[in-house]
Amino acid sequence: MKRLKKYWPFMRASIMQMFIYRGTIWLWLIVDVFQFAMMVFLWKAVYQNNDVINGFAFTEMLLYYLLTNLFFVFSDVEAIYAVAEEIREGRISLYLTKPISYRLRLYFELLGRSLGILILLIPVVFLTGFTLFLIFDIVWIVTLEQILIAVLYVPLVFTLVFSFSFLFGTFSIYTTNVFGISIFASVFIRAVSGQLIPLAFYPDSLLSVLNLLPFRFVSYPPLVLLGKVATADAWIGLATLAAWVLLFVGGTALWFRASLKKMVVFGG
Amino acid sequence: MEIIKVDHVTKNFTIYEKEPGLKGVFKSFLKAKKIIKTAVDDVSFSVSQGEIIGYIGPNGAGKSTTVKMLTGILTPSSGTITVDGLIPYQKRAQNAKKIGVVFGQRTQLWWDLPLRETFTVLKEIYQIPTAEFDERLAYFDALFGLSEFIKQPVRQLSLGQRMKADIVASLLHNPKLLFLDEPTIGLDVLAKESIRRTIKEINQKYQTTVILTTHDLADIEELCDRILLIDKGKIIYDGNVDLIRERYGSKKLVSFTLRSEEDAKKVDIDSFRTQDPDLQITLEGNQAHLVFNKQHLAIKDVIYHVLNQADVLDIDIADDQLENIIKAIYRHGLS
Repeated sequence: MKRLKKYWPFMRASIMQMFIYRGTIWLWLIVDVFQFAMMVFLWKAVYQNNDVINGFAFTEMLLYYLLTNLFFVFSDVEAIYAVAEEIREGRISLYLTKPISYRLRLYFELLGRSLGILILLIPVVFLTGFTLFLIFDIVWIVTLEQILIAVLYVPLVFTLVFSFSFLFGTFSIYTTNVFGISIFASVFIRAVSGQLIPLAFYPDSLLSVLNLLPFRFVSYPPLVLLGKVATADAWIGLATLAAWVLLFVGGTALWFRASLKKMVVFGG
Repeated sequence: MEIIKVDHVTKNFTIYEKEPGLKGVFKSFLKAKKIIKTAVDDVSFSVSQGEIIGYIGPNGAGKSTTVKMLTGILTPSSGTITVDGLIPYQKRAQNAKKIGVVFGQRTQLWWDLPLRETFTVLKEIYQIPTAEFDERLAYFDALFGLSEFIKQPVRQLSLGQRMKADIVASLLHNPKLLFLDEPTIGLDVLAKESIRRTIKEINQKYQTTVILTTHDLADIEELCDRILLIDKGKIIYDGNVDLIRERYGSKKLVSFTLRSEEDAKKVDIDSFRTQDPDLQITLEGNQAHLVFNKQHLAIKDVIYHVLNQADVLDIDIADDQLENIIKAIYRHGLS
């Protein structure tokens, strides 16, 4: 823990940075609410002729989208862009001349960013949720155990997505421009984790492939809170995810260390 | 005591050559031509604790690559480097505790946050005790007047203030070794002077070893006793600044201040051109500046010649500027 203490200021500075440009924040919050309102209309249209689709009732779908939106801040970790930019601009040199791990520093910086967004998003999600509960008369029963599991998933999901994104970011040591790879990585995570639509909507053949990957756990927190994953399965999932995270963290560390030897630092 | 030892170090980079034009782009896309570029070629030198070394050379000579290997960012293709007993590219983080780095063209400061925040982050990174941190900030405040801008976001600082802040950021943990890459680039005379004075003071007070890469040779003249001259990846000179001037500075500069502009126009030195074809004269109002090779022409002959031609009020004699000497070495090599 003491070893990690020196990375906290990066997290703190990152949170502070989130609150500097007020105009951007307001605009971003307005867009978020607007996007949510659009989704409500979309799902309302989809559910016109059905009460339940793939096990999700209309109100559950709204809750799923609301919760996914909240948890999304921890799986929207675009380390790939940060790494690629720092390598391309040569700013990586500045971090490599400090007695810190480049990877951990970025981890805490991006964690700070996610926490900053969460602080901004919580009031919006609460207000939107409150409005939805009033309008659609939603009944939602959730247990303390479910909340505990969902919370425990968060750091693991964040670390998994960070490592995956960092892994792809490291490619920029070899290719310089990772724009194509970045888009692929972001879309891939969103698609295979159920952030766009619940995985239950996918065909069985695709689902059996996705079940072999750890990314399905990204959408577990909202699913657990909605009771769509049994708590026993959720605990097993948590352990499985932890194993995957260890594998990813180790793999990323080795890959980055080996890649650094090949690095060409641009400019000055 | 030796703090840096560089032993037969070579660094090769693989680059892919792109052919020109649309056709070339497609061709390179399918099969890019691989080229091995040697940025640093069999370089050896050592540096003692407390020295201020000027590491100079034209763009692309291999200066930054050497510095990046010394700081542990890059790994040499062959040869070995030790910095205070450590191999920097193997023990990067440990090495980083002992060094401070300033890249003049980049900032390590947090762009959007008040300057003070960057210093706080560095305090944690280097685990500087609070009393020591406060003492050092007070010391730099006295040197640079930090308190005037420490609460401002970095993006609002002037270039001079930013550079001063960057230097403070690299010295907060009192490193044994300081790498300065173009620390005075783009600064005004006062800011340059203040930075040079600080580097000198730090070096004297803490015996901090300084490796300075710069294109501003006034930095070298004011700060360094020794220079390492690198060109095309090879060290072509390693030694005293005065010695290079003595050995390679064969030019003499003589400036005459004359009574009037008409007098200046009377100065005719064409008769000397057979002895020194590189002889140059520049007229500036009532002044005439002559540059000639002292090995080809005797200074007394030149002065006597001009005294006979015009009404001379004052004479100023100087050795060639280091800048001209280095320029000549870049062009023609050491001969």
